[in-house]
Amino acid sequence: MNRIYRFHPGEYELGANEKFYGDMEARGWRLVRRGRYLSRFVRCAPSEARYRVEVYMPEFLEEPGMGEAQLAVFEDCGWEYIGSRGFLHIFRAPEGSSAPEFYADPRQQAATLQKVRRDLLWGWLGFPVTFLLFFASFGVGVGKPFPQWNWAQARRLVEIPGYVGFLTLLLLFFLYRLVWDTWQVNRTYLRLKRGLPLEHAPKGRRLIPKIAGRGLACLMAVCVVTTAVQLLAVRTTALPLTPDGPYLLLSDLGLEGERSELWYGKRESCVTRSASLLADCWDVFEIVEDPAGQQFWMYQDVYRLRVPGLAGALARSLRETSVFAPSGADYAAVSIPGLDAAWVYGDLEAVAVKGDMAAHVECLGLDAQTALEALAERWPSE
Amino acid sequence: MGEADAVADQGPMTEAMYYILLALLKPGHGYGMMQRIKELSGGRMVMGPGTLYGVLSRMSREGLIILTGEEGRRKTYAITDAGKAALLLEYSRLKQLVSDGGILEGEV
Repeated sequence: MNRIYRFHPGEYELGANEKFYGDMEARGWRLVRRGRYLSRFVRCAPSEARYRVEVYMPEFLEEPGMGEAQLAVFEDCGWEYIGSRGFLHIFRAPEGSSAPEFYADPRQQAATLQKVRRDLLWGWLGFPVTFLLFFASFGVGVGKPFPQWNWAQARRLVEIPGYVGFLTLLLLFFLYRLVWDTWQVNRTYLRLKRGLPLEHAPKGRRLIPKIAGRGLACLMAVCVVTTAVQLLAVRTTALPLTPDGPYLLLSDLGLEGERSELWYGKRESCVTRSASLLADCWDVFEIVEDPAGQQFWMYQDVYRLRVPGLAGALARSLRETSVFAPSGADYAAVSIPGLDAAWVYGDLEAVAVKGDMAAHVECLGLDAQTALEALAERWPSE
Repeated sequence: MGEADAVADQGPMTEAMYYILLALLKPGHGYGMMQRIKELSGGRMVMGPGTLYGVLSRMSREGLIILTGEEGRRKTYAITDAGKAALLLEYSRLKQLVSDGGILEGEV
């Protein structure tokens, strides 16, 4: 194997990067390219070498990267230009060569970090936008104003915990990077500003970012895998004539007729079954045409939760994110024997809770309360 | 207010600026400047490439030096009239400092 890739220290850890590349060369791996997260090395004879990183950020509309004339000066001084990534430009010189350090006065090097510090400030200003986008991602399809997105989030957490976990960890990762990078760059800046030279070989400070960064990355990977496994197992089938789960059929409400299809979209009666880490879920749609030719339909979201006590919270989320009711406050609580709690929004929608079961029912042309009574009869047997 | 006065208003020049302007009394490129600075300072001042380019960019923006040509990858700079005026001003200031410090002669 003549080529390897390794995660490198963050771009704001100047000295740590210099030490990392020097250590790799001492072990027989010479840097050839720095990527976003990984650096590429090729096999070489182990040797002592000095690596230095130069921070260079062109002004707005200026050409990116160092100019040829600037690079020529570094090279004339004995520095070999390896390449750049973002604002970091990496140079190498054999140990013991006469190549001079980039800065005789650390205060001049501090000046190169000022623009980097300003750019990080933009990152902080951008964080609230990222945070809002995070919540907006849960609000997609909910059609509710912003405060109710939290409830959509709670519902998605039950339905796809891996996806919600991934987005939450991603947000935490952004925040961690911002805090860590800001601390690193300011620490370095203040050190240089005081006239102390850059630490070219800092000791013992890589443990925290390694644990935090890789820990978060591992957790995100777990979330992605669990989400993928869950989504691959989702099955949508034609709705059976006898329920194969804790949901209702229109016949349970006393409605007899032929299965039909929705006039728009030609949607037929079906059940989508999924299982998350937190719940078994049934998403049911049924449409029936009675002998008089009138169509009746019913949507249901039924959950069997694996975590005790979660059904109550989910019921609130179901009310807040329901289709017809503007908000949870528009529901009226009703007492249904056999259910722990129940709410209705006119004849259109109902939410029910019993033990670890929760459901949201929408029906057209039927009485929602009747649906609740039918659920109370169905659930004891589950 | 002239550019040299503007520089004077910013306070004393840094050592790097002073030596680069001195070196550019004879037009030259980056590495040549570094060699000349070492020579002018008797080896005391070893300027790094990072310092050199930072100061060149700043002085170019301030009109103290000017790009006069390019030879291959190398850019050649020369001092401007404003740069000369600023250099003379700094030289006078430094001479005054040394003169004022003359009273130390008997102390040393």
